[in-house]
Amino acid sequence: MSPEVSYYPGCTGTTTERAYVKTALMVLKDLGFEVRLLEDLPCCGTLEAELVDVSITKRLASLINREAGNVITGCSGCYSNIKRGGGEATHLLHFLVKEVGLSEVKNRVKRPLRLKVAPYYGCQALRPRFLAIDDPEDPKIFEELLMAIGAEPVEFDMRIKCCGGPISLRRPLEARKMAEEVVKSANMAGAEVVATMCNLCHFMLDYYTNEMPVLHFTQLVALAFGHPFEEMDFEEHYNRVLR
Amino acid sequence: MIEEIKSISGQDVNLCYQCGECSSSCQVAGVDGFYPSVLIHRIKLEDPGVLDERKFEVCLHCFLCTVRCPQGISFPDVATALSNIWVKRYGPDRVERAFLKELRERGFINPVRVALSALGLHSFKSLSSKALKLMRASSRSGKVREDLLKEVREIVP
Ligand code: SF4
Ligand code: SF4
Repeated sequence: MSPEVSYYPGCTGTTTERAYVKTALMVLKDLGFEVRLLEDLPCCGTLEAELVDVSITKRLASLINREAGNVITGCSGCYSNIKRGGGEATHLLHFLVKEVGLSEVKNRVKRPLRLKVAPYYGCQALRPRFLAIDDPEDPKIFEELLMAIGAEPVEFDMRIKCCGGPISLRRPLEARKMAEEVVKSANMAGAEVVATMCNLCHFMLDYYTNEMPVLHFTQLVALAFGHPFEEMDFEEHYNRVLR
Repeated sequence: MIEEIKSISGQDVNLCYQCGECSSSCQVAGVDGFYPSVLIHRIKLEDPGVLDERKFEVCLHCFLCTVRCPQGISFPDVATALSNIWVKRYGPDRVERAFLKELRERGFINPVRVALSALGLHSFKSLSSKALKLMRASSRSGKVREDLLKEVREIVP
């Protein structure tokens, strides 16, 4: 019997970032997990609920945990909100690298990705310290995963900086500038694609910039595991992915 | 204000000795005159402008200053506390109202609908082909279990 895990998609997982959820499930299944998709659980509240009243975040986190226990999520925003609300959550990237293990991931690779990839961490899974999936200022976990699937990680200045998402509704121009800076920095460093590990980061970079493809890291893993391009739902993206 | 911030967030701004590390780490320092260390200084002076000017809303909650502050202060948590205090006094702002409405109605947040109600349609003009695609995504939504939705309505004002 295969072990069961619960995946929390996050609100954008059912709207703008469906390709992320689809490929996350694909990868987990390939690695031998039975996945329960928590699509009927409520929202984590996002930062906005916390800005209204910190107790909302706490109560939503405990509701989510009561219904599903420790959840895996690929959304760093959800991950952070649940953790900061006093709940339990596991970030998908951390799960793959630290719980499943790199050698297990490596074993499944059928088509090593010969691509230069800029691993974009963003903020919410690195800081504050108590929830950090790796060093808050000098993480390596994303690079490790990329190397395991045969990609070449590219170092770039903005990798642990913010995508602008949290202020996109109150300071839209500033937010857009920040998203552009992230992608510019990856491009200047010689990356062919930017890989993200958060629903909101992906949306910000994909929607507000035009320079290069922005992929969910799970799409890269799924491709390396041998899934065809057609299954990646690249048509859901805002930037052209295939040349 | 100092005590209220402490009771909401556990942050003691009195520990700040104005080294400026937070402001020099901050990606949005200077945006609309926002500097975390300056806000903390003004909180200590009980300056009412800290609340009224709403500069705290510029903070990204990236927690970079949090991991660097030598005094263990987390500015974004101070910003959250200020925002909570604002809401208690004046009610939620336009963006928060859009989120709360969506949360109460569906238990879920459709980011496109929230953006539309917070920013208005005109803000999508500049990126037309992408914007059209985004609009199509606004009709999608998850569905929260009925009993849980009821609970969410008890939690969210
Ligand atoms: S880093 Fe900490 S001690 Fe230094 S100015 Fe900022 S809040 Fe004060
Ligand atoms: S958490 Fe806020 S104040 Fe601190 S560095 Fe980030 S944006 Fe600046």
